[in-house]
Amino acid sequence: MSTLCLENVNVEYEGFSLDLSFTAESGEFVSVIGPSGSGKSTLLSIIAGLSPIKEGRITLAGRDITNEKVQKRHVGLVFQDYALFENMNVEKNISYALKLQKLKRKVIRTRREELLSFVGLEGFGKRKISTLSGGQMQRVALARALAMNPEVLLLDEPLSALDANLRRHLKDEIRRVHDSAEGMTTIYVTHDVEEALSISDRIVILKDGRIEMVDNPENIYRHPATLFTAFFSGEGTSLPSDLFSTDERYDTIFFRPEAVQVREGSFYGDMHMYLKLEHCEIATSEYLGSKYMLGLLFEGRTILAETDERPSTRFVNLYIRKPMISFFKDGKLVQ
Amino acid sequence: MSMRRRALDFYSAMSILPLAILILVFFLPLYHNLKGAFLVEGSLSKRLVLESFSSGYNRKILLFTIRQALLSALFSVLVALPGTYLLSNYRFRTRRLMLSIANLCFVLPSILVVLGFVIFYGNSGILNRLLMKLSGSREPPLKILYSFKAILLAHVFLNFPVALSLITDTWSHLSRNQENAALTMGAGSVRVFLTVTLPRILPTIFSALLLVFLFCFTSFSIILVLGGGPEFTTIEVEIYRLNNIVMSPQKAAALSVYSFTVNFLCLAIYIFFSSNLRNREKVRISRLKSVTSKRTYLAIGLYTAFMLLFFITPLASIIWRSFYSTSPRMGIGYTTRVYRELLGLSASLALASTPKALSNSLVIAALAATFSTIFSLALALWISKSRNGPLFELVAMLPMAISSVTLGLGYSLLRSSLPRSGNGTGLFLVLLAHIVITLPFSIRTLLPVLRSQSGNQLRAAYTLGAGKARACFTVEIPSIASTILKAFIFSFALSIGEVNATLTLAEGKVSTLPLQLYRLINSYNYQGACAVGTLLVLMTLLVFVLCEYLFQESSEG
Repeated sequence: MSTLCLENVNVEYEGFSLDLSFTAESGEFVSVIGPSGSGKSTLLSIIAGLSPIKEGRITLAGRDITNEKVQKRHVGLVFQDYALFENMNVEKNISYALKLQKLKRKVIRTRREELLSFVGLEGFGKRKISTLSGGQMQRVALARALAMNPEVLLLDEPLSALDANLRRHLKDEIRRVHDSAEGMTTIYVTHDVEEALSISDRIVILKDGRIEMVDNPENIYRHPATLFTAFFSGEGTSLPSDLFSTDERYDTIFFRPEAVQVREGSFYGDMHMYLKLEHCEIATSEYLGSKYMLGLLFEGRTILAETDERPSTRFVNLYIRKPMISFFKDGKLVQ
Repeated sequence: MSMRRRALDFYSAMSILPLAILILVFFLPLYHNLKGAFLVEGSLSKRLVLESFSSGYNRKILLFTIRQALLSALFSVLVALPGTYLLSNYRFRTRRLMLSIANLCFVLPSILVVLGFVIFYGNSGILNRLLMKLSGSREPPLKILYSFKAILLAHVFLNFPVALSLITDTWSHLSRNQENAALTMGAGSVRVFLTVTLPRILPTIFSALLLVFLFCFTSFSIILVLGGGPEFTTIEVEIYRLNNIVMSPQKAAALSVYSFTVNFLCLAIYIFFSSNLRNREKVRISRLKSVTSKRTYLAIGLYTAFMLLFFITPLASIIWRSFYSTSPRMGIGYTTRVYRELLGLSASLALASTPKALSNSLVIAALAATFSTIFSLALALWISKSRNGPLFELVAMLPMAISSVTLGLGYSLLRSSLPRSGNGTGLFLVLLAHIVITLPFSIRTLLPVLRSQSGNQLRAAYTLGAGKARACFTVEIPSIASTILKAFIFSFALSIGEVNATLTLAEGKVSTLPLQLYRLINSYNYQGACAVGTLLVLMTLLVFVLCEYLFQESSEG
C-alpha cells in the first residue's frame, strides 16, 4: 500500500512558510486547491524531493523518504508547462525513464507503445515536440511520467494552458489514467475549483501555507469548515447573524445560491424550514443557460440566489432553507 | 490603406536618410577597396585579387589567422563555462560583481588591454619583477609577451566575458522544469546536464564560439603589439603592413577583398545560428538556487578571485605605473612628472599633443555616438516593424562583416582620391568610419527592446487621436529612452577606444587618445602610455558605471 504521509512538514522561504500534515491513501485521487502563493506547487516540490524541508517527515508506503534523493523516490511529476525535452522526439521523451531503468530494448519498445496507445497517441512516436498541440504535449508528459510506474503521480496544474473544451475532456482522461494504474496515489494541483470538485476523492484547501480543510468534495461544498473554504469552494452569501438572531454562538451565516427560493407572490411551504427575507431588490441578473443567478439587495448587502425563471418585478421575497445554512463564529464553522 | 501599412510608410520614410547615409559611408570605402583591388593601371584586372587568393604566403597568413581565432574562441568559451554554470544556477554575493566585471570588458578598448598586458606580464613587467624578487633570479621567469601565448591570453581576456555573458543570458533564462522532470525519472545530475541542459545551451555556446572567432579573426592591435613577429601576422596586420609600411595600397586592397570574403562567411554563419536562438525559453531568473555545499562555495570563491586577478590587476597596474618611473635618466621612483607634462605644466615632446588628442577623441566620439544613435534608432524602428525585418537587419549588420582595418583602408583610399584633403577632411573621414563601426552595435542594442514591445501603447496613442509621427516621438521613443541612452553610451565607448580604422586611415595626421597611446607604446615610453591609458581607464570606468546604473534601472523597471 503506497500511502503518502506528511507529518508536521515545515518549509520556510523569505516571506513564506508552509506548515502541514496530511495523508493520501494508496489509490486515492487528492486535489490541492488554494489561491496563488498558498504553497500548492511548493507542496508538490517537497513531495517530489526537489525542495528540501526544514522539519517534519515524509513517508511513502511506510518508508521514510524525507532525505531520499529525488531520483530514488519513484514519484512522477507532470509540470504546468509540460517540461518536455525539446531536443528529443515523443518516443525518446517517453523512453527516458525506461532507459534509466536499464531495461532491454524490446521491453522499452513494448512499454513505450503501450503508453502511447494508453494516452491515445499511437503513431506519434517519431513526432518532434514542437509539432504537437497543447493537448498532445500534455498527453506525452503524462505518458512520460507514467513510464516509470510511479507510486505517486504529481500533477501541477496540467490543464491550465488548455482551452475549456479540451480541459473537460482531458480531465476525465486523467481520472481514467489514475483509475487504471492500480494503487497509484495522485496529487492534483489546480486553481479550478469545479475541476477539483468533479475529479477528486478528497480535496485539500491551502491558504498561506496552512491547510484550511481536507475532506471529500461533497463536504467541502456543503459543510465548509471555514468561511474562507466556503467562498473558495463555490458561490455563496454571508450575512451577519445579528440581522436575524441574538444567539452569540455564531456571528455569521452562510448559504449557497441554490438554498434560496425567490418568490414574487405567496410562498407555500413549511415556514419553519425557511428564513424569510422580505422586499429584496433585484440588482443584477445573470443568465447561465439552465438558470439565472440573481444579485439581490437586502439591507445594503448583496445576496446571491438561483432561479429557473427571471422574476418580472423589481422587488421579491427570499426564502432560505434552514438546513442549508452554515453558522460561523470568527470564520470557523459552528456545529 | 491599412493602419499597419500607413505606420510602416512613416517608419520607412524616417529611415530613408539614415539608410542612404549608411550605404554611402559603408559602400563608398568598400567601392574604393574594390577599385583599388580590381583596377590595375587604369584597366579592370583580376590579377591582384587572384594573386592574393592563391599566394602561398597569404594562405599561411590565413591559416595562422584562423588558428589563433579558433584557439582564442575555444579557450574563451572553456574559461567562461564554469562561470556560466555558477552564474546561471546559483544566487551568491559576488554574482553581481562577476557580471559587472564581464560588462566592463564590453567597453574596454583593446589598446588598453595591450598596455595592461605589457605592464603586467611584460619581461620587465610587474609580475616578472615580483617573481624575480621572490626567487632571487636575474632572468624574468615568465616570457609571455611577444609570443603566440600573449595573443591567446589577451584574446581570452577581452572575449571570455563575451562568452560568459551570452551563455549565462541563455542558461539563466531556461526553465528548470525539464531538469526537474529528468531528476524525478531517476537521472543523475551529470546525465541531466548532458541530456537535458547541454542540448539547450549548445546553440548559444556555438554562437558564442562563432562571435569570439569573428572578433579574434579581425583582431588587430593585440596582434600588432603583442605578437610582434612576422610569424604571428594575421590578415588584418598584413593589410595594414602593405598599406602603411610597404606603401602598396593596391595589394592591401586586394588582400582586403580576401578578408571581406572570409568575414562575410563567418558573419552569415553567425547570423544563421543566432537566428535559431530567438525562440528560446524565457523565465524569470528568480529560480536561482541558494548555495548549500562547501564545494560550490569554494568554486565561487576561486572563480571570483580569478576574475578579479585576471581583469583588475592589469588595469590597476596601468594606473600605478603612470606614477612610477623606471627611467634611470629621469630617476627611478614615484613621480607625477608625466601628468605635469600631460597638462602642459612641464615641457614634453611625446605628451604635448595629448590634450589635442583627448579633445579630438571626445569630439569624434560624441559626434559618432550621436549620429550612430539617431541613425540606428530610425533603422531599428523600421526593421522592428517591417515584414522583411531579418533581411534589413542583415544589411544593417553588414558593417560587422568588414573589418575596421579594411574600412580604414577604404577611407584612406577615398582620401587619396580627393583633390584636397586637409586635417579637417581627415577628422571627418575618421568620424564617418566610427559611425559605420558603431552602428551595428547600436542597432543590436535597440532592436531586441523594440521587438519586445507589444505595440499596444502605440495603438492606444492612435485611438486617442495621435498621428504616426506624434505617437512615435511622444510614446514609442520615450518608452525606450534608457535603451537609447545605453546605445549612445556603447557607441561612445566603442568610438573612444577605436584604434584599428583610425590608425590605418589617419596615421600621423589625426591624433586620438588610443592612437597617442599606441605611439607611446611603440616608442617604449610606458609611463607616458600609462598616463594616457589612465585617462582612458577613467573614461571607460565612467561609461561602465553609467551603463551599470542604466542597466539596473531598466532591469528593475
